[in-house]
Amino acid sequence: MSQIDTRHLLPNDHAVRNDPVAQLALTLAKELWLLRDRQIVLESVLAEKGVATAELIDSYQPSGPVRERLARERKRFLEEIQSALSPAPG
Amino acid sequence: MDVSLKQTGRAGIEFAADLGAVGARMRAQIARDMAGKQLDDSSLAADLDARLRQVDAALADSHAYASLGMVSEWAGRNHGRIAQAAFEELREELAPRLDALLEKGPTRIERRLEGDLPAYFRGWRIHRTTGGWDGHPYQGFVHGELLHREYVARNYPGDIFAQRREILSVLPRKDYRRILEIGTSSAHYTLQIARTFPEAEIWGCDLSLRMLEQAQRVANEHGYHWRLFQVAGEDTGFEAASFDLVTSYIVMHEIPAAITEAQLREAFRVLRPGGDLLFSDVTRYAALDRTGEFWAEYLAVNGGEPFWREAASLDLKAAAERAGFVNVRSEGLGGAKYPWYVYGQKPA
Repeated sequence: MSQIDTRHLLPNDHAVRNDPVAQLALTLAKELWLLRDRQIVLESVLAEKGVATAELIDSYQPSGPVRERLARERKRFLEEIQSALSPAPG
Repeated sequence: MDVSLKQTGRAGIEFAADLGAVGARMRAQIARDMAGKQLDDSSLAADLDARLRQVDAALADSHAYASLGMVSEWAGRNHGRIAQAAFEELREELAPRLDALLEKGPTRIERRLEGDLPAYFRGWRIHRTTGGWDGHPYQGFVHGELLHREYVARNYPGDIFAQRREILSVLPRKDYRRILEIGTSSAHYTLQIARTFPEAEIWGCDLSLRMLEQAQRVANEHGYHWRLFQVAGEDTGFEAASFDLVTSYIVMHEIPAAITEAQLREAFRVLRPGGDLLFSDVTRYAALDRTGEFWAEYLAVNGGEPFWREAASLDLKAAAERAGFVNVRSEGLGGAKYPWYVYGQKPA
């Protein structure tokens, strides 16, 4: 059976890795990002085509300003997560 | 192959990939936390296991250290699942295209392994990737085109595809007639070999059938006739003295050091007199200071790399010389520490 190497697991590191709430928080953050991304895509599809269907949204390929907006928003979102997990000193 | 991910799959991969940048910023904060605890090369333990425990104990109150563990654990558990989910959104469209590349074209998998896969290969879910090397019917595509191109490439230093091309510049010849690549995986390196040596006959072997299938697709998509075999690189069964170059890229840290030594002996056996050896891999621990070695080990262990330490600790120059090679050199490409390579020649 496949398994990961556990030779070097360390007490403090091990504790955070086995915290299910922490893993749940990141999974929820990912799911939230999927929706935020979809919202931006929905707005873009509506602006470009005047109508939005699930198929149009699913197949939309962001480019130019939309791609930049997604990257910018994703960076901001992840910085929020980082700030919550690991606040700056002081 | 041009692939347009659907919205959910694309957004999931982009989230996971950019989370890697968050991890990098956390490591920068951990470096500051270590400095605040006077943890540096002069105070870190010489023994690597003791050093890992020393840092773990000293950083018990570091938010960044705890957060990095949390984030890297999540990435380890989920990156493979996210890539497979992105594939499933496209399966109906993609599967026929991928299947066609196995059915048509000059490249075939000419031999499949008889008997069990070696224990070192089947015993680990490498990289902690869901499905490992073989656990999904299209895992070669998932690994090569979704994980490697969309996830790994965003987080690994430098251009991982250019590095595969640039490493070949250390070779002294352009006239190789037959080249063996050990560990083709999903053929990113194979493709660079074929482009660099267009006149050469390319042979490739790997233990993963799913990865070989992806190599076959890549070859057929580009019109190449490669000869692919599911055999162990340390026991190929190929004719002695039949290749001009034996090469591998970023394979050695995926296998035990004893298997690397066996692969060097096998390379020596199948090379013609005067033939060249070029194996490339991760930075040697001997080239790192104690802090650098700590980080390499931390990332390797938590990235699902069970053989990284023994691989990175192997003296490649001595190992190649033990196998019989001469004019051996072991160094980083262009004076950098990555990619590292060992070059040698079989005596003429």
